[in-house]
Amino acid sequence: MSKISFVTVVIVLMGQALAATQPVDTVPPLPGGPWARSSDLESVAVDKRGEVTWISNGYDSQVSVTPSGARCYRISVIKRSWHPATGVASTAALPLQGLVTAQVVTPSGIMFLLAPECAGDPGRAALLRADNSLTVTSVSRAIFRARMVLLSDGAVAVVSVFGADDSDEQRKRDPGKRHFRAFIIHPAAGGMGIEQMPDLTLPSRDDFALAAMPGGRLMVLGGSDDRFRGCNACRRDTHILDPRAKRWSPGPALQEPRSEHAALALPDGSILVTGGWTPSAGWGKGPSRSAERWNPQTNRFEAITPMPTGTARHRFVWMPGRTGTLLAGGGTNSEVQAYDIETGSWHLAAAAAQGSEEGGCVFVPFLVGGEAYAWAANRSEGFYSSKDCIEQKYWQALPLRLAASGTLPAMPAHFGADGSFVAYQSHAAFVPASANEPALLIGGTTHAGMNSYLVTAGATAIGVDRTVRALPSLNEPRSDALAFRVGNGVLVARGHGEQDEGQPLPMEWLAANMPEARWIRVSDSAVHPSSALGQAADESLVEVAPDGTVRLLRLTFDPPDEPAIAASELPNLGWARRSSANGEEVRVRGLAAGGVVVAGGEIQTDKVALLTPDSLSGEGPDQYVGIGPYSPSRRHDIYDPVIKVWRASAPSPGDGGRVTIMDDGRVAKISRFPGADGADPRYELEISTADGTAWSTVRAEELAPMRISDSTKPFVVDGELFLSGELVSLSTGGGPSGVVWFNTATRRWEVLWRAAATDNWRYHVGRVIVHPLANGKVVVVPVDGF
Amino acid sequence: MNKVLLLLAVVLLAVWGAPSAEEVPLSNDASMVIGNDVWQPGGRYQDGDDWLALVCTPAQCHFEPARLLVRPESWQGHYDDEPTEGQQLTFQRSNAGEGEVVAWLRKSPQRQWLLPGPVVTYASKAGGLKRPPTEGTYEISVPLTEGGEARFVPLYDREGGIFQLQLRALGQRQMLGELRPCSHELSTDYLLWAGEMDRDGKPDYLVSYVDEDGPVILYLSGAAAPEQLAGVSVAYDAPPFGGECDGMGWLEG
Repeated sequence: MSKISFVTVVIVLMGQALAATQPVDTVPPLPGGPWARSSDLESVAVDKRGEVTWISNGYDSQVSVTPSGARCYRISVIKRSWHPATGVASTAALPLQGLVTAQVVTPSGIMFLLAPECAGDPGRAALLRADNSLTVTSVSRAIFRARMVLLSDGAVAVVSVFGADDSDEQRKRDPGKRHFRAFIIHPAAGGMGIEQMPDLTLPSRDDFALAAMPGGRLMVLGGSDDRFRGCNACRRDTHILDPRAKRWSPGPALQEPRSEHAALALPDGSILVTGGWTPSAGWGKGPSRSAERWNPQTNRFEAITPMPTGTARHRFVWMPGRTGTLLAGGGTNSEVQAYDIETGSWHLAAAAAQGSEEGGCVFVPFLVGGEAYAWAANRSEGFYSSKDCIEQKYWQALPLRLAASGTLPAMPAHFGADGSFVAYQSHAAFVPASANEPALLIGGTTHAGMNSYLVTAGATAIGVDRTVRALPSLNEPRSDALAFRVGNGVLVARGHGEQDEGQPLPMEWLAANMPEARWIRVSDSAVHPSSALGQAADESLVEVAPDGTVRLLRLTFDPPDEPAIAASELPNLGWARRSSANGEEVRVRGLAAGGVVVAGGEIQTDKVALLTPDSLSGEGPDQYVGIGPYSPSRRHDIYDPVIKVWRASAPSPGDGGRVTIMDDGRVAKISRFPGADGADPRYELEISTADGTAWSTVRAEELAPMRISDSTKPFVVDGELFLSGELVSLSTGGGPSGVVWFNTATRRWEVLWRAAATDNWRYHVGRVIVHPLANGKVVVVPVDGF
Repeated sequence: MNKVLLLLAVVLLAVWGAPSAEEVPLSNDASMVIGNDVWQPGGRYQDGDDWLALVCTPAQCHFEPARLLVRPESWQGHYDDEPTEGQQLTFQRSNAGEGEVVAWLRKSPQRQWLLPGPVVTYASKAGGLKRPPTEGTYEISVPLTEGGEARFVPLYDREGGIFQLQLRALGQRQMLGELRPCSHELSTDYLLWAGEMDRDGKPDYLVSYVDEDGPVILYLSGAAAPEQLAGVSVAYDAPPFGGECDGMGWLEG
């Protein structure tokens, strides 16, 4: 044992942020430089002050050749400490050299492995204790790509599959390389004991999971011997190593085969397993969000509530200062997902702007000022990159919203100083705030690397007090859903599922007054995935199917805890009406007097009679359906509840466009007009009268600085009319750059939000602002409209 | 239950979904041609002045004498190893005046009513087709001189993914042929002419099923089987189409 002397350099890098960092105001900028070079922060020690410590390498690698011809690699080993909340960081060179290949935090200190310096040398295991004393011992087994797991008896298991990255040809030449190799390190007062374990003669790659078991045992879970990502050949079998008996034995089968999943021993001795690639969520469809738990009493894996969103290559970290809240992060998706071990429930705690198909490098949750955050950085995923953590391209401090658990209160996140919050959920259902209720973002998609997006079941509440709270996750992940307040709860309908194969999703109901809030599937509630839905004055929903059929859907509670839908027919529209592929959606809105307005999308004016038995016999009237091409809608349909008929509005001067329906039945529409002499079309905001008999056009100069285009979205929140879109000379490269509000008192449009000049559209995916209006209202508004 | 009876019942149930349309002859008898300067396979046609042109103006239709000139011509199909031998048919109107030729019909002893002069016409493309007061965009109403109307109703067979044409008149309904089997996109081009051709006082119809290829059929009341409104009298196969026909048009998705 040697006592080391520390050369501590305290660095406080003020104002030094990485290029793509979106700093949170309450968190100092992330220290750059050597911290970005650090290896995966898979295992960091967190002290009572919240400072994290890990072992890393310096930049001083040197290659030399010995007289015997052996190559030697020398690189300094550094203890790094960093307070994620303050940015205060320090380094201390350790008196040894070598490439750090793995590390784990133990009660005795940080234990880590060093690769051999020279070919033929043994590797080493080292233990850096809290008093900075260092113990080093030689290990003879391969330690490249090794994983270290702290066992329940305080020993550390080191497991590797030597040659896991080799080509199939290399592996054929040396089948023994493909097997699991393991040894146990026993920390002791005077040093460390190394105990070799037998090989597990199971061919494998590096996509398995490890977890500690009661009695100092270790479980290997799943994985595959397939060189490709996904689950073409992934396994459901588990294998248990008993170090005392020095024996591997078969374990219970997983509920599903998995690869690149995560596993962790929980305090009750059970093992939590989540995500990865599975047969039903393989490469191209997945990763999976399913979860299971090994029950030590029954020695079986049992399916448990799935995560809100699928992920792979993730890891679990306990939330500091909050016993019982486990966070899954650092995976391929951009999210932090929280698991409450007491209730067994999951919720979406945060999402970042970008995920990575290679997973994350850094995932460090921390507390500051009574609020929870996590630093996250992606692994580089460019085709030519090394896909390592050196090229980390995106760091972000994510404010976490954590649900209440047992006696622990909920921890909301708070808006930044810019008066907005970014959920990074796109295509989410939005429910505007009401007098006493927050606005809601439900489901949607989050980024998962490259051009991948994953559908989430996560839900978030945003209050006018600028707090952001976690809601229970939906049973069914869904994007492009619609949600409505009904009675004392929220009803979510429609949407596309995570493995969208066109099957309709059932509605889900979240009652605000339930003792344990959770989403309940609603019976008999599936609507056509492409139906438009709006809410009638009596809170029932109006469903307009693409073929023009109309139903009134009323939520019933008989028995009280089993919500169901009672449907009744309204007369059909005069034509088929559907949302267009370019985002011009059909909108439905009930009016105070019982009327309904259906507007937008594209309509099919041609019809053909159906061939039925009656059409042969001549009995009964013909049944007609829409047929043929669709045309951009210029008329909206208005239902008269007194005479129970639909009538069409006057045609708008311009074609199609995104629409919104105001409280009094007026329709606002971004209409398209052909450009002169083959020029690009121009767009104008048109507003109908409430009875639909006439249209007026808002002059472009009145709308300045909003540039009206096909991406401009009109929408109504709390009876106020807004436009989301591009401001003149301000582009984010694909998303909105501003939101304007029409002040009816001054008859002028006022800018409520504008992006910064250099912003990328990704910064504003799911951005929500809370803004006071000149008329005294305070509105919660998604900057991308809804 | 007897297995044979059970099978028969199943078959009968299955065929209801695709009611049999009028049997359409697969080849014509060289007594009607649609279009001019057209190619036909084989060698059935010969030069002659025993033809009449059915000519329509917006005001009326009539038959006028015409001559057919035939020359040998081969046609190289896109997928054929060897060209198909055939004939190029060119018609000349003897006293060409106003109007468009709807069809060329060859005189024959069996069609004594085929004479030059005016033809009682209820509907023609030249005179404009009338849409009935129904929701069906592609339906055609043919007003009959004796009162009432005949109506052509394209029916969408959802199960079969096809459009079938139905003729309704005098309280009767008769399934005709399949419309637009290639493009699966409807139009009202199918009715070329309706009137009284065979001089029996009942309406006759010239209907085109051409959709890249396909027949044009003259339905005559005089050729009607019992319980039919009109029967197939003459059919003409359009020149072969050399392209593909594998889309579902409006029925996609």
